Amino acid sequence: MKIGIPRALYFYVYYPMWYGFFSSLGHEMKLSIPTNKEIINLGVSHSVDDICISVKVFHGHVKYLLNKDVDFVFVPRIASEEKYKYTCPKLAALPDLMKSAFVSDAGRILTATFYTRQGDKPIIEAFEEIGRQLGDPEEKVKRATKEGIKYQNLATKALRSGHTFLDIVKNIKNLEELIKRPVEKKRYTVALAGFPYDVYDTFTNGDVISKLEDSGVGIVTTDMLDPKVYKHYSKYMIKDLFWYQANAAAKGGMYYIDSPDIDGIISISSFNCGISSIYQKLLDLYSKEIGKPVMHIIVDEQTGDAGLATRIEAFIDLIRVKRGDGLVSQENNLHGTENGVHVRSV
Amino acid sequence: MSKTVALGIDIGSVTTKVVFIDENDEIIEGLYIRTKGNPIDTIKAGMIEAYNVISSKYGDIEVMAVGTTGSGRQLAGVVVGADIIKNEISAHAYAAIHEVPDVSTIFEIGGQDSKIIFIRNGAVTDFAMNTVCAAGTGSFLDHQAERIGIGIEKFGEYALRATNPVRIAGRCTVFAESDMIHKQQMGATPEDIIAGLAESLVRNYLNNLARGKELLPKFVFQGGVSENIGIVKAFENAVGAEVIVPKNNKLMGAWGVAMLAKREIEITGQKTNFKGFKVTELEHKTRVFYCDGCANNCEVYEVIENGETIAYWGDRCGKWSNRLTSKVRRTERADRREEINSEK
Repeated sequence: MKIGIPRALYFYVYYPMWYGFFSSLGHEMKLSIPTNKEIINLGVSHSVDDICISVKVFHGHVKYLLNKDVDFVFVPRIASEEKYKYTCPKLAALPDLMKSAFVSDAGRILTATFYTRQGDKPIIEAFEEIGRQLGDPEEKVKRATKEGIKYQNLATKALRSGHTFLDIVKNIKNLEELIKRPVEKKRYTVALAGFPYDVYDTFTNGDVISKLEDSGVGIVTTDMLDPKVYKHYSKYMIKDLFWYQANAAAKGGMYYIDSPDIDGIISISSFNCGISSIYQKLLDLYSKEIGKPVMHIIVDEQTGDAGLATRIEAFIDLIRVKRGDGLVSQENNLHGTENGVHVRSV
Repeated sequence: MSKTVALGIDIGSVTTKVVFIDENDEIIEGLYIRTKGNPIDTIKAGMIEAYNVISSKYGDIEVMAVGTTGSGRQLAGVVVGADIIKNEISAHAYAAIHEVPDVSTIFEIGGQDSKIIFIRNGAVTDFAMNTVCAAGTGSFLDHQAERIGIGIEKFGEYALRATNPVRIAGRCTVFAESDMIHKQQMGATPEDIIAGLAESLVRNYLNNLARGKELLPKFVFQGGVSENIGIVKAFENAVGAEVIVPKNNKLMGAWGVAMLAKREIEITGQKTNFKGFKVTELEHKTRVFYCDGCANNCEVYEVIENGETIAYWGDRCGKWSNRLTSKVRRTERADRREEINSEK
């Protein structure tokens, strides 16, 4: 069978697991192309208009795949990722949203509910359900599930060693090698706080990652952190948030605010996201206490780049000055994306 | 002996600022012109005008450094040959700190965007720019001045004469305008409406940009809108402290980037990239086309100087911008800089 995998939302968290599972079963996988204008246009014209850009983009990816010759498009329902922590209602309702948006293709939406509280049991059950729908033998599904979990663990390891999820997607076939590969350390490091699908969708967020890296700034993200390291920030928030990813962004962001080797924090979220507004406020409050720069980038459908470039340049200037490197003597930024900041001692 | 100057150009959405500074960083000539439709022509006209004034005063001049800033900074940078192309936040902050060294908060309101910059101990610690709309910026005031039929330059004095400023919804220009028309039909005087507008603009600005941030004196207010004494008063009322409007309030961005360009040249010891005043005689054209290389269909901008393309931008993948000829210059610069570094 040929299974389409939309490159959006939880793709940026669980793709390794899906890759391991489907490839072990011998199914061919088709990834949708990275978000581009065509995908956004498809998404915007097929979705209700009051949802966030990330979910709209997901519609676009699904439609893109439905237009290709794939047997199924995989849209898992990820309802929970931790005990008592849930995902946004739109994400929990994702298969239903897709089925109602693409009624004539509803039968081609392959789904199962991942209600991951603790342990692997819910994952095994969800994959069993998928296996039944695809008509694969139980034994094979069991093996494939193990394979999926193995890939996911490898990916987690790669994240913990400082590789971004984009690197993981690129190197999905040799994750072990990726884990061993060292991450280049740059003079400045900026932490990106936010949901993985906002941080890594380089088209919708105006490619913040490249803009920073081209300016000589290294990046780390909140999904690189082991939740154990930021557990204690619950105290600052009085209690944990209801949403798993918002917790990761808020507490991970706070952890980075406290890390001496991080120069600043940039949060990335989509305009209509109510959950983001909560963790951003928390980061604001916390950064005020510690005194580390935090900037919020809120994206929507716009493709104009000037406003974003100005903010990022100014933010880099700010951390340069903070480190005593001054404003001048840097390679000129002649065209937005190439902002090579050269650092030299004066 | 010729006079050595540095040039700073700030191409804003509504106005263009051209500033020449002398060796003491003092402005010897500054111009404030409307950008209108064509930023390149505006820059050239401004440069010629300023050149004529300065050369009649000082005779020969030598430009040792050029910097550009503002939303048109890239375009201006490639056209004139800039040594530094700086975002407007850093440029504005640099000039404000130069003028008022112990400044803590900078309000800057220009034609289409507004920013707030927080400074502690002479360094930018935080900033915010207006997000989704242009409510409460210069363009909106301009539009309202036209509608009411009172010159924008008189807005300030009208606001000061008000006895009972009316409350105007400042969240959005569409609501603000209908609110203003409603109040005017109810019989409010133009003075009270204009003062109300100033207050709502300040309220909206502070709610939008300064939300939850600590506003500490000294306050500096710059950008075109700081000409408006009514808004200055409204700011003072809102923050409960004096708000300083520096003497070059409208030119701060250009001044800041002129100083930064000068520092850049002083530090690197390089020769300026400035193409000379002859650029005003060169023919510059710009062209926009849609790249059909992939589904993104990027709007690519091309700058053509005397028939030769000198810059591309707007492409996401770098297909066009990587082939631009000024890239050669950039690489050379980078190489030279590495040489300097290795010598140290």
